[in-house]
Amino acid sequence: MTQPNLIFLFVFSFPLLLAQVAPCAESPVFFEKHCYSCHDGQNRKGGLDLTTLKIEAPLDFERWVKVFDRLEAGEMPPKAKKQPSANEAAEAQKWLRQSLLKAELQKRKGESRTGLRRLTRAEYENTMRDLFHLDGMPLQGELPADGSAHGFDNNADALDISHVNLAKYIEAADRVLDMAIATRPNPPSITKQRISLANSAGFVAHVLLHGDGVILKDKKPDPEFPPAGAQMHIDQGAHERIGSFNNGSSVGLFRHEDESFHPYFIEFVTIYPGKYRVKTSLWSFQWDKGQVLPARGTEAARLSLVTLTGDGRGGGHPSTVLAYFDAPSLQEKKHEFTQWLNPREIIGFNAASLAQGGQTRGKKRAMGFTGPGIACDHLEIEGPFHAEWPPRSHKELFGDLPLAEFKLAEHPGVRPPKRKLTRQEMGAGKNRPDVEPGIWTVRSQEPLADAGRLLSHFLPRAFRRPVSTETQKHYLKRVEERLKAGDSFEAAMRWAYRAALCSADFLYHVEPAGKLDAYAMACRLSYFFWKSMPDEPLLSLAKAGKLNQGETLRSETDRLLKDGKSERFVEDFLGQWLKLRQIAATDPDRKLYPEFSPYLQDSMVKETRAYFREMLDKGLGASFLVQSDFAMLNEKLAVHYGIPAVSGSQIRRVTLPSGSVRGPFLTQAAIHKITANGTTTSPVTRGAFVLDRLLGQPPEPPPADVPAIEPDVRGAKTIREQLDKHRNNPSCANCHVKIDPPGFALEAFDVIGGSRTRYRSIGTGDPAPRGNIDPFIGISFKLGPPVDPAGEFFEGGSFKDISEFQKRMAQSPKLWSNLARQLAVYATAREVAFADRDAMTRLVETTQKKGGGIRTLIHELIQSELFSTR
Amino acid sequence: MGLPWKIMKSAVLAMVCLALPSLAETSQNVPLKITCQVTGLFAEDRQPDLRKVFGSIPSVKLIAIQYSKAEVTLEYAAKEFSNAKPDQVVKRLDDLVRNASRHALGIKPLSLTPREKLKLIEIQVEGLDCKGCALAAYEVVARVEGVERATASFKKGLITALVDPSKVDRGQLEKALKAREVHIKAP
Repeated sequence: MTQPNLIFLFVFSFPLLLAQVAPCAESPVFFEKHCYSCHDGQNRKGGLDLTTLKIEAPLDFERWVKVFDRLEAGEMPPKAKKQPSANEAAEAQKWLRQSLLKAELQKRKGESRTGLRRLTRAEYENTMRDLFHLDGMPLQGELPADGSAHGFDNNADALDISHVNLAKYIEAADRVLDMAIATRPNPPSITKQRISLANSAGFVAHVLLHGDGVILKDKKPDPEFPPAGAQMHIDQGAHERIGSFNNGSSVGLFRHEDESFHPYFIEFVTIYPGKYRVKTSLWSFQWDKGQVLPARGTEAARLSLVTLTGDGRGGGHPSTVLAYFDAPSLQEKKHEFTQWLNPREIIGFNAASLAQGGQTRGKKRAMGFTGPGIACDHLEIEGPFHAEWPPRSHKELFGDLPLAEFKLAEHPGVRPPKRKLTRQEMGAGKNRPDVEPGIWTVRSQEPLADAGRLLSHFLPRAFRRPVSTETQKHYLKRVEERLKAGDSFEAAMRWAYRAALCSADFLYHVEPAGKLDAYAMACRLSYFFWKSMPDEPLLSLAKAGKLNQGETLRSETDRLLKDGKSERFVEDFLGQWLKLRQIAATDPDRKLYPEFSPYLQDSMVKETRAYFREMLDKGLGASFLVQSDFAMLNEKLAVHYGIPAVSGSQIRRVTLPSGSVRGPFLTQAAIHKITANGTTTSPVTRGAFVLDRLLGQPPEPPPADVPAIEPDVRGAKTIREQLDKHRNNPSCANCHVKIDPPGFALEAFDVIGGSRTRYRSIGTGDPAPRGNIDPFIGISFKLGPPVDPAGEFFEGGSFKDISEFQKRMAQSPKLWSNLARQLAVYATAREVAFADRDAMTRLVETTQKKGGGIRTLIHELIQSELFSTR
Repeated sequence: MGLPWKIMKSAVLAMVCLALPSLAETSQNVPLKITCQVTGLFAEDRQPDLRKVFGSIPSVKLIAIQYSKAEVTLEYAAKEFSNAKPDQVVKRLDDLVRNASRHALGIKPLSLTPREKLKLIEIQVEGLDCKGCALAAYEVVARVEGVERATASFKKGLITALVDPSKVDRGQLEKALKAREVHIKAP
């Protein structure tokens, strides 16, 4: 691949600087002597004329920074050219550094480093959830997607706002208030519903007729519903009506979900949002042509949250994974958890650990089949549970004002508050709503006094800081206007609340210029670790003026990281830093990677998150990004990685056998999948990922006129052989000499993160051994050319495999500086500027001096001026 | 004499007026009996299911089941269907039974076709010994016009139909069964 060497262009046009910034007697000579020959207006090597670049122009400034970096790294002038003396180079760097600092300070004069920014979609949703104690309220799916700048979507440069956003904020505020306000005197009644997996109108009942599963009673085939054999069951409806699926028996499935099979517990479709207790009982077995035998091990089933769309029929409705649950051999395992459910949501099921698209049951169906099965005894859903009534969401809005029935006769001239009829929207749902109690609403004897009191409670919480009396009066005036216009008290207050939730005070991060005040600091902390508003302890500390004290900041940081809400940070930060959000961007080729499954993919993501959490909790250093003595695994991943003795679906810390390269981000399957295209791997893509994401040295983008390399899945030519053509081109080699080595090392891992010594091929090649692949998965790929994971470091030296590469890379100081940079960019919502470099260096140095790891780094960052100034 | 008589007459009239509603009530509470044909009773072992269904309908009492004729004798209070015309009573009973049995059982009027005009057709079948499958096969046959009564048992491998030969023949029944993927044994 050709790559214009921008470096030449940058370095050889330095004389222009003379005209733009304070000249230095030494520097012009340096640039004239070492740079002009390639990068002046005539030569424009690499397509760039540095003599026209103005250091105060934003784009040009960035280029000058790159020139500085190349110069500092000793990459320029190129080795083939006459080299400056050490003194000359140092002087030039010093001059350029000062020039850049001066230009940046001039540019920033009067401006804050972090721009005004709105809440991201995730921040908006979390803030609403925490503000109203509505833990699972879905909002961000309805809002326009956020942009991204400097790697993160919370960056001010990415957070513009349009009329679409505003329209959506109004809709969202209405939805939130609908959910928050109590409209009945008592909570919805708590119901308990036990559902068989073979519930009416579901997919499972259908496949049971065909022998993709069986009904089991006392761990034997249910005599009332014999397993399908040469004859299958006929007429699903007749079986449903006569109660074949509803007699308390268990359902054993042999089939993984697929495009035409979506197991749902559709008999419970949520009507009332809230917290529900979900229980299930699972076990596994080996089915042998009519007999139930001990299973091959612990299998795993997945429960997911499915949102029914349209009329709710069919499958493929949007879903999110709740969790994977163990199903031990012939032993029921009861699982119980609390889950927030929203209207139209149901629970979905998948026999996750079974082979996807596995062996068919054949003509004799279940009676001719031998293989693993997962049994589900039932699913029980109980709720909704409300700790108090009216709920906390309502009390945040209306305090302790009583609820009363609204009777028109008692309120002449007042419009009753609007109410939507609560109903079961899905025909398949057997749960029904309570009888509507009439129109119930808050009653106020002194509306304006109550409104003032309620607003003075709500507004500071919503705006995350004290609110002036003037602002409160502004909202109170609106309430007064609405009351005069004939609105009920609830409707008038709702008007003010909606306005507040659509105001800049709520939608934006309000931070003062310069040093952050205590409330802004509380917000920075909570949006960093929780992606949401500060809680009461944080705000109390802010109010007491204690939050800017070092020890308090430290203890609050630890408290926030310990709280379950910090998983939002782990998920959001990794989703962007390591691009985990793109994990499902490609579907691995079924012929080349038949063992790939959603369970494997979900496990990959969990591994990366759990590993980062372990780094946080144990305070591990940056070398653990690339080298480790432990891994975070479940059975699925352990089998995938060839690591023995890990059983079950839950991720846990596993000490690695000697010589294992697994564990760190560098060798995690998630990273390998994200950096592959589903069919084959490219050292360029993976090398660029390592340089950019782990080392903080993003390569220049490829030239537009160079086509991407097409993968050769026939196995005739390796990617390295194809790349050699590019690498042998001098104009390409300058970049590829840096990009390719990490990519070559990662050739040891295939598209889905499996270890390999030979490429898989669907054309020529040797028969492939099954290895760890499930025996129920058909294999048709072959083994093609051998993998060569060796390479040479740009800085000198070589490695023969991934293990040697890891050892060398673990020593790189760039790991630390990049980790610090990524955290700083994320935490402060702005790019680390050239003028911040010294501060960043100090962060890392202090962390290392203290012998600390990522936790110490985070503490240092939070205590730094970088974090505490806007 | 005139006055006492008048008083007495008024008193009697008043008593009659007072007594009328309770007399009407008494007539409404009179239990009525009815014999009907039952659908969904495709095998002898369905009788407990039928009893269970009637057990869940408090307004109707099951007096007797005549399995061989697929008939039931029921008792109900007249007031239960007071607003129904006589020909609607069976329909009302059918609704009750269908709702209580998830439409696996039902009630219909007695057949008007004399037994001697009906013909018994027996079809040998193969399938799973399963109530759901038997109900499905039964319904395939029972819904064919001209079929008065039917039974289905995959345990016995036999489906029977009492049919009006002027309306339906074996071929039509076999065709309907095959369309439902019921495997018919070769003779």
